[in-house]
Amino acid sequence: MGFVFQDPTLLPWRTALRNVETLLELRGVNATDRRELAFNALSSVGLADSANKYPRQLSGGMKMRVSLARSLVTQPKLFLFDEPFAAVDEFAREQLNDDLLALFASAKFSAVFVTHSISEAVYLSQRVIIMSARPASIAHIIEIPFDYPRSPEIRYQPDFAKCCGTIARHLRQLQNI
Amino acid sequence: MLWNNRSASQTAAEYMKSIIRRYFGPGVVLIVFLAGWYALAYGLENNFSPASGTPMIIPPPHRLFEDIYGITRTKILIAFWISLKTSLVGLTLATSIGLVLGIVMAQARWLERALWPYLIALQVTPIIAIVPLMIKLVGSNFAARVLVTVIISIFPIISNTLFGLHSTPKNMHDLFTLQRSGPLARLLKLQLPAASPAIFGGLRISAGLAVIGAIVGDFFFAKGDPGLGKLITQFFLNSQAGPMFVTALAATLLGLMLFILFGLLNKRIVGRWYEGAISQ
Repeated sequence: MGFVFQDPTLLPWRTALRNVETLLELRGVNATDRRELAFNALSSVGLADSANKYPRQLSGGMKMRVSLARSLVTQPKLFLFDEPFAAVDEFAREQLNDDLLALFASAKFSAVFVTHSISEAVYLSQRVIIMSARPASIAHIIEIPFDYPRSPEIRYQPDFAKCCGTIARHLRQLQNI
Repeated sequence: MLWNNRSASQTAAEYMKSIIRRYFGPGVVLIVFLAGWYALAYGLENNFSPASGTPMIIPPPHRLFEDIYGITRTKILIAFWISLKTSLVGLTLATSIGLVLGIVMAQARWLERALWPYLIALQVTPIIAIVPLMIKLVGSNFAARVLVTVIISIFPIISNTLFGLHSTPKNMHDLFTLQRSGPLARLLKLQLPAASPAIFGGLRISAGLAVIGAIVGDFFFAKGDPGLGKLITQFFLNSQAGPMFVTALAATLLGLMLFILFGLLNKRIVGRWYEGAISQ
């Protein structure tokens, strides 16, 4: 099981590569194997060049990628994302969404992705579950009709807007109760 | 070519500016300090009157080194070396014991609460109160002087280690908890690295204290070769003001050396990643 936190939670005294190695190290994987696995994971999020940089030298989006690579390296079957891209700007966020979809296509895993962004939810998911607050419970389940792989273009299709609209309406209703 | 010359002279001017900015403050303070020293030396009544039979109490800066030659100079150099040894051995012990105590205390609140009062007591107990006990237990020798150094310099290491270990961010702990990490992996791979800036901060303070410890130890435990503290006492008793002040300067130099040494170590080890690292 992989877990990606709300903030990158990188260890500041480790380089990007050593950060990606952390979980393998704690699981007792030997140094040469884990270095190779970590480097591959880092490459798959497009950060091979920054392997030897410390977190303070990376931008917010890059840190999030390292964090993603760190979870990826353990090859989890299930990923839990806790609003991972909430703190990065819109542009970086869309880029990270596309990266995630690419990873999703290349490595098979299931993911539960918590987000407050409607378009992010629709863009990434097969199924969007709307939660109500206090008591937290499932209010609605919406199936998203798009096939994978998805391209950024689907954001501008009428069906995409319709899905977003439906979700927004449900959310508004929940708040009025 | 013209452009090049101009930019070269510009960078030279920039460089000069940065030099001035850097040394202006310390320079002014040095001048004020020396002026105060001269004022005191020449203002003091009977400071230079051999006729009155009283020796100089405070030599002016330019006359400090008048008597520093031959045996006197050798004595100061040897004392410097001995005090350096005492403070380094003391500091090494204080660091090892302090780290262990800090780590032990970080493991449980009750341990922390149980040990704090005694550590504070140790810190504030005047050394002179335990001098007879120490003479009885370890003698009046090098070991006793090292012990004084340890007692005086250990506190910042313990408190900063403890503080550093406690202030590891919670989300990093969560990361390790999800991997079901044991306390040892957590300590070695998470807490100690996270605490290292605080520990180095403590080490820097302790380095200065260790020099004080080595000199104070000299005052109470006289057996063996004299360190700077003992030498200062000797020059004082012989009314040799010049050599006495020079020996005190040597102690300052020793403290400064250790402070800079740990500053450099800190920069090398922690400075690479720590954003708040203090520069020289």
